[in-house]
Amino acid sequence: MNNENRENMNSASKKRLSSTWRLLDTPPMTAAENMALDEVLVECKGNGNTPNTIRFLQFSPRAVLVGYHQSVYEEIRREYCQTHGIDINRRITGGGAIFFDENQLGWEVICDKSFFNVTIPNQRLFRILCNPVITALELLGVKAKFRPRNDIEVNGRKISGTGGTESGNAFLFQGTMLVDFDVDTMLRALRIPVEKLKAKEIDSVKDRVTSLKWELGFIPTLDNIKRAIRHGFEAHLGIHLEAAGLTDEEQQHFEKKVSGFRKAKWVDRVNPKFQQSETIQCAYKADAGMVRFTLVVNLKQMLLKNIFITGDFLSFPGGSLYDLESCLRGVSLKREVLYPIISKYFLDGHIVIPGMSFEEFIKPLDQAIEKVAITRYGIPLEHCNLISVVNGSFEEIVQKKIGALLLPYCAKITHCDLRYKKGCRTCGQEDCSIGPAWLMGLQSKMEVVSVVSFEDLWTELMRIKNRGIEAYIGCCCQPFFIKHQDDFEKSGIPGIMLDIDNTTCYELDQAREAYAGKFENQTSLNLDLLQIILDTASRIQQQKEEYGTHAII
Amino acid sequence: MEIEGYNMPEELHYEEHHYWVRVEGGILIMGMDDFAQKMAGDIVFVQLPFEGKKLTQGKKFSSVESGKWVGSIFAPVHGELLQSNSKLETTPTLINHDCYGEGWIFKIRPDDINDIKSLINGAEAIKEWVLADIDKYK
Repeated sequence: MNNENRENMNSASKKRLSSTWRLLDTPPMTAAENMALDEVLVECKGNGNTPNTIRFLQFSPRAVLVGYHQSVYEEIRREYCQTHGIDINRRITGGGAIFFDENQLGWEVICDKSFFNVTIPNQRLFRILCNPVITALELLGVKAKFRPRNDIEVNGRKISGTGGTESGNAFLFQGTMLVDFDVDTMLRALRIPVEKLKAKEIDSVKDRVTSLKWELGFIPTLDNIKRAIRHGFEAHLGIHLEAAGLTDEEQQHFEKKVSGFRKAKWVDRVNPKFQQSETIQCAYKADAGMVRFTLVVNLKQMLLKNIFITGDFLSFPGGSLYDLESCLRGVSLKREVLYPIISKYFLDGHIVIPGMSFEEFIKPLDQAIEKVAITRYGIPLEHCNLISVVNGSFEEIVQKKIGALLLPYCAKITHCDLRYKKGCRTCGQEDCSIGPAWLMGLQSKMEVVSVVSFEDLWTELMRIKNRGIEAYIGCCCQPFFIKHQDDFEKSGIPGIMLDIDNTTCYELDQAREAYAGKFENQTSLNLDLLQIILDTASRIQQQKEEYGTHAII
Repeated sequence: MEIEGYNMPEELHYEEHHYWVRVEGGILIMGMDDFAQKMAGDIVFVQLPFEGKKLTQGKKFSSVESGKWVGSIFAPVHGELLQSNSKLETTPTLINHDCYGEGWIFKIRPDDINDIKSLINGAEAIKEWVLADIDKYK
């Protein structure tokens, strides 16, 4: 047992006289039964009619549970759950959606607020309530620590998440203990944006959690785990636990309430109107490796709901990246909020990334926030996700006269005689997106350029810069942009880059051929997106002409 | 009035769970006080019940979430819910940024304005109550 833990335990024990609490070890139940019982236990306790209680809970069948204020539509892949026998329900406690399979053990503290002399839960209370489980883990052979605000982690990997609520004079505080864990099913059952992640990154999502089995190499018996948790609570809270069942009052309330917890009225009670979440992804290739930010955001609330920072860079100590993610979850999606948190994390030495500065690390986050800013122009985020900017914000660039449109040769038909040459005949052949884009550019009075290699791109950028063109629109794939972001920046010309569709040279592992102008597959330009951007730019220019100054969004 | 770093305006009435009430022409404005918002941290959700809801003094009528904890909001008086602050639907952190101004939560029509006499009011009473609570959280 570490010193901090022992100290906390001693002071907690000294503060309270030993009292007897109930140990309620309920058998595996359905999600509706478990949720109903949670409400019954805290309500009866709140009315002062039942003993303080530690409860163990398990689920059968396995279940996904959204937080009290969450929307099932937003958080859960309902069809997957329904076809795979996974119960869907709503907790009475706060926090995010969780997957609770038969291998997990839940623990709960249901007690008088007066026991902790606290009416508003705060970090100190969360720590007091997590410490018994940290001690239990230690008894089982796993060194764990408290992760603010209210989780338990082992080397940066979460092993127990918690949440709570209250009723009258009582608290209910609950947590999970990951005994063994089926991460693949969790990723399929919850709307975690795995489809946006590459296979290696999915593995790194798995690195964010751990279980007793993964830590120990074996699964301790359920009795041993319960015994350890029981000991943790008895020692830390200075209490004695005695096994007992439900009181008659609790049993009667439970029978009345359980059917309500099975109804859609309860499970789907939260309207997703203000809960819609969307995903943004941005990456940057630094010398020390690629860093990619995947953000799940709520644009209406301008909140960062979830974040995954992945890539092939090294970071120390292990798990520090996940702690950083934890600090960023739930905060405002604003540079002035996010950057100080990350900067402090770097400055305080909580994370070290050899060869990568704070400024490089946040580059993809900066791009992500820029994508969010573009939504102010009425462009949906799914489109904004396909837009990147260089040498200025989107707002600044659309105020300029955009004089050139750069199109990549890889979107030309593979047998076109101009594929590896400059120019386009706008012949109107089906399956070619270059011709229509070319015409769109000309209609917008832009110089249209077909780029045939990376060297050619650089030559064209220098040429249009020397001609005094204020800004350009370019079409290229995300991997190309990520790789050459610094080059685009070095050119000094503001540009709006639009992602292209279809399988690119990078996914086919033919980047070298493409660099030299020898890539033999055909990509496709996103013409709808190009039209939206051209229309937006034209609208802004018209407004500028009308108002004479900075156009209004 | 500042009490050990907490801004607790003395002209307000306080409900014991740290919600304030201000009387404005027979209507009550209600919100979370500075002590509670600092304890709770970033507010992520406030349940805004339908307008016209009947309120019973001391009974839970809404909920608020911060840091995975769902807390209850209790009616400070008997009455009727007149209006909820719809800005909190999209920006619940207004409660953190301006708990006595833009972060107000409810407007209530009391059945009897005298009900507010049961709330904590007056510099001395507020100070005594807040200091006792600060002591609890040490």
